[in-house]
Amino acid sequence: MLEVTQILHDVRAGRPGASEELVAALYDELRALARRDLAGERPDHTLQPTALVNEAWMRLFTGTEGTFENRAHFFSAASTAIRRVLADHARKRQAEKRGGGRGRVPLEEIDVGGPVRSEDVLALDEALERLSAFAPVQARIVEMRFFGGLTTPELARALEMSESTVERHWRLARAWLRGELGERDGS
Amino acid sequence: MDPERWRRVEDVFHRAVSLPRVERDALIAKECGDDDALRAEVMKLITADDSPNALVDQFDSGALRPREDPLIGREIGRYRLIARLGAGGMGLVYRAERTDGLFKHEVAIKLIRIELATESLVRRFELERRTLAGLHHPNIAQLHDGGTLPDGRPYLVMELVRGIPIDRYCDEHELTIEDRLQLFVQVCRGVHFAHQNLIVHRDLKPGNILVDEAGVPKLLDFGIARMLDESTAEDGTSFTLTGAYLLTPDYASPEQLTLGPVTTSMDVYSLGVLLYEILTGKRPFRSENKSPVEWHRDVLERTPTRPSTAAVSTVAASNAVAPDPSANLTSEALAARRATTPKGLQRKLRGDLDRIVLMALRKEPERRYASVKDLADDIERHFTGHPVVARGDTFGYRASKFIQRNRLAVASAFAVLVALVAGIVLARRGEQHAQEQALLAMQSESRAQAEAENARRSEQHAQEQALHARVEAQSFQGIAQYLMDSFLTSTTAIDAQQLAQKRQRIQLHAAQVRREYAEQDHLRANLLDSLGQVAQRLGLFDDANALVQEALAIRSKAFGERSLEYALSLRSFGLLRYAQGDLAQAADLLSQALVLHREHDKETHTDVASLANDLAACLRGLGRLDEAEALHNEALALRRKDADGSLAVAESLNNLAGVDLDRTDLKQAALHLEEALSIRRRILGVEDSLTLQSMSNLATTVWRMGDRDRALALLEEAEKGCRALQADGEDDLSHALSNHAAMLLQAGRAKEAEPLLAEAVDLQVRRLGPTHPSVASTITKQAQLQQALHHMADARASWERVMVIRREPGASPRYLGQSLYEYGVFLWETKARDEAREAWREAVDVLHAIGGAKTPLLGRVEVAYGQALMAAGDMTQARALLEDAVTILSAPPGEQNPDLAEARKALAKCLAAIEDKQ
Repeated sequence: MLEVTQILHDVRAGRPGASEELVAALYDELRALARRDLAGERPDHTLQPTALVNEAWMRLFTGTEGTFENRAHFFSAASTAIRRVLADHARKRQAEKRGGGRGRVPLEEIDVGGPVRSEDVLALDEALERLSAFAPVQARIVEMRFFGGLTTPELARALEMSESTVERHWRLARAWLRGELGERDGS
Repeated sequence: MDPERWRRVEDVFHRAVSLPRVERDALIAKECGDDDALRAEVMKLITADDSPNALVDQFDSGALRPREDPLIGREIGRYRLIARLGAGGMGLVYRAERTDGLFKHEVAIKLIRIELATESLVRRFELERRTLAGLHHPNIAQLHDGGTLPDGRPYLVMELVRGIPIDRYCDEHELTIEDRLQLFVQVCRGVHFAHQNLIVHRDLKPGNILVDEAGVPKLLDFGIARMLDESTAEDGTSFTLTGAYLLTPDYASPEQLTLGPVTTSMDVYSLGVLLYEILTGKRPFRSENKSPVEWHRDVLERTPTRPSTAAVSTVAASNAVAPDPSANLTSEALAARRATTPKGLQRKLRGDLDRIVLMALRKEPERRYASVKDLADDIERHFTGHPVVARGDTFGYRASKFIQRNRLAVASAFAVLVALVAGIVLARRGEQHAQEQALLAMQSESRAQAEAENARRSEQHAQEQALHARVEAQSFQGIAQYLMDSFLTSTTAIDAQQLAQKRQRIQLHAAQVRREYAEQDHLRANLLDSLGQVAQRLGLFDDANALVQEALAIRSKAFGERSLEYALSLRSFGLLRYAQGDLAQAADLLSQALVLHREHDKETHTDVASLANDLAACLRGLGRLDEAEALHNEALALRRKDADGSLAVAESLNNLAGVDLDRTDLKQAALHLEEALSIRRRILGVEDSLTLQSMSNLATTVWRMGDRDRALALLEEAEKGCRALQADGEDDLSHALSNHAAMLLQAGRAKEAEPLLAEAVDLQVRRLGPTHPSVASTITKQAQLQQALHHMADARASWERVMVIRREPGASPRYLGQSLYEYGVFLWETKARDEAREAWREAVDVLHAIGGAKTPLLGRVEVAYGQALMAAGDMTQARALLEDAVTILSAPPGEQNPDLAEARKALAKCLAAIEDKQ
């Protein structure tokens, strides 16, 4: 996790390209955790995707000095990484379902803070993908809110815009998402 | 949707939603006109804005995010974690229950911190776990099971003890002295049982001794300290850090502080502290609010106040201190908690119990109770009215003995603690004495480092050997050692990522030093300066500059600009500038430092010698050869007087040879180098950076004297040695390779030289950066090689690279002059005569500007320039130059110098030409 900490430091220092590296490093870290769990020798011991994220989270935060001054930068990158990992897992799970459930299914449904189905995660992922094509800032805000839990002031700091602008973007993005995700569910 | 269109949607949406509902439609109608698609899109969004969507809300309320403690609810082995019981330096402790529901059984699960979970720790854990699982005793919390999580973290499943720490239990139940002793004896039985199974606790303290509802004391965490400690020590990583996690300073024995061998006697001592505390309500010594140095001194030297006195005295009047300052009790209240009065308490403790406690707390392990059983037995003897074994300490044993025996260990423990800063206890209000002691350690460390630096730098990279040599001579150098160990574990071959980590650690340490030693200028400056030197060695010049200058500023302000402290900083700064290639500033700083050292160092002269050497190296680089030689000779004389045949003498000889070579006094250079090489070969052996350098220098010299076979043989031997040193030999290897290539080139074997040079340039650029003067020297050879192979375009490109480096601000004008001369030769030979003449003209200017005695190099350049002017028809100026050249080159070694003949020939031609004209 040290390299992540270092890259984080670089992000804070404003090194160009560091943010992308942070996402990649976090993603690798999460994936590595996932793989270890999947390949684990204890078949009775399955882990949930969110538990993986938590694990990485814990590892990141243990041993770092105090709280991050620039929490926003970290969460921004972490949000993207988490989204990718969750979407990967959801896709895999879907594929397994379609494939008739061959082999054991190592990952349970994501069930943190209430059950979230892998279809829903994928729907969200795809919707964000579409949104980012024409409204990248709004997509980013959604991603950071949903996956990283950033608050409006934190978003404002991370994206260098006023809180009212963040709120405006969020309101529109939320409305759009409601339409998109509602349509899919047919409600 | 395209972004353009989206912006339109966005605009209408925001304007619409900010309006009252009734006005929205009108606005939308007006804005959208007959664009129905736009209207539909906006309307859809406005409708959605008002209609909640369960899925989106769920996402937004954290469905995809981590929970507070993600581990709660997680299954580990046959258990599920229910609640967190605590978090410590070592890891987290959870309450957990069986998942199979076979029977209701709760346990405690201890998860080791991920950072501590190294491979060797995990192995060690497995081993220890089996031993501990076999330890069944009513006073020891049973270890049930353990294992490793998929991420590699080991965990332990233990008996869940529902109880409170023994000190609190005693007070809350207002136990009498007798009851307290009974409880304590039970604790002793548990500890003794473990000792019989060869397990030492090492971290006994109230927090690890819980008393359950039935009044039974249970010992927790047996053997865990050892699992962690030894495994980390085995790795050689973060021993002190782990020590910090583990050691609860107030209960640590003197031998634990000095990192002595682990014995059961450590537990006897810790039990003594515990007994002291439950009897008197105070601890014999307290680490809180003390500097590490003070606290160490207490534990190592001071005899604790007798319990009978401590129990009734106020904190201020005693060595002893209340464990919790906020709960400073009156002696009445304290006695009341023991169901007695102050007088009664004093009476109970005086005599036997005083002696028993103090015997357990003796500094020397061998003078404590031989076992925990003996301690418990003595307490029972006291109960039953039998005479106790413990006797007063009347034999004149003093802690000083212990100190004497453990002097070195004590000193380094102090220094490591000071350096770590964060460690166990932070120094807050260090006493004068404590500071002085630390300072002593620091100063010799600074000197030691400066010496190492000096050796390294002037010969380029000998720190390892210099360090070895010094380790024996210097006893106080805890910090130097610590810094070396932690930052320079592998002195070379650090990849970018490791370097970044080290850089971060340096900055972290610096920040801690500034914070924790804000008031202590000595310490702060010393530590910052040391960190700066570490940064310099890692090639982090910007960081090094900032740190070294910060220390300089502190010292200037706190001690004045005539102080030795200030001189030390000037020197660090000078050496740093030297390392960066800014010779002029380096020389300036070092000569200021030398002046101060001459004033302060009247007796030892060691610093004067090494500073003279440093400064001489700078001056030589600047072409001020006479001054350089004089200083080198001064240093050599001082060093010979100190210890002839030493490495320091070899250093001076080697550096003098450099001056000789600059003067083209080959014979003298060879003499100096032969002696240096023989000293180094004798002391350091062949596979050593310094020996290899002398070898390579001698090879170059004998080559120039015409002994080609010896030169090539020496170089081949040197290269073999360098390769054997692997990464540590890279600098020397690049040096040797480039010299070797140059020789092959001169011998007309350019093809063989090519791969050698390419390797050398790669090595240097990687290790020194692209603008280092040494890189320029090697590229120069590459250019010559390319020319010899008739790759003219490549050669020219190489020359241009060289000139860029030579013109860097602060670079040596002598090297610039030399390179300009050689570049001119190249240009001349490729028929670029005007450019050649221009280069030589500049070379003459540059070399003249250095001032001082005129060097043979200047003579040579003047010959070249003069001939170029002749070719251009400017006979008058040519004549003046050539006459000057002849004068310069006639100086010793005079006739030996082939350039002199050339100069005379050219001058004769010039004069003839002038005559012809007339």
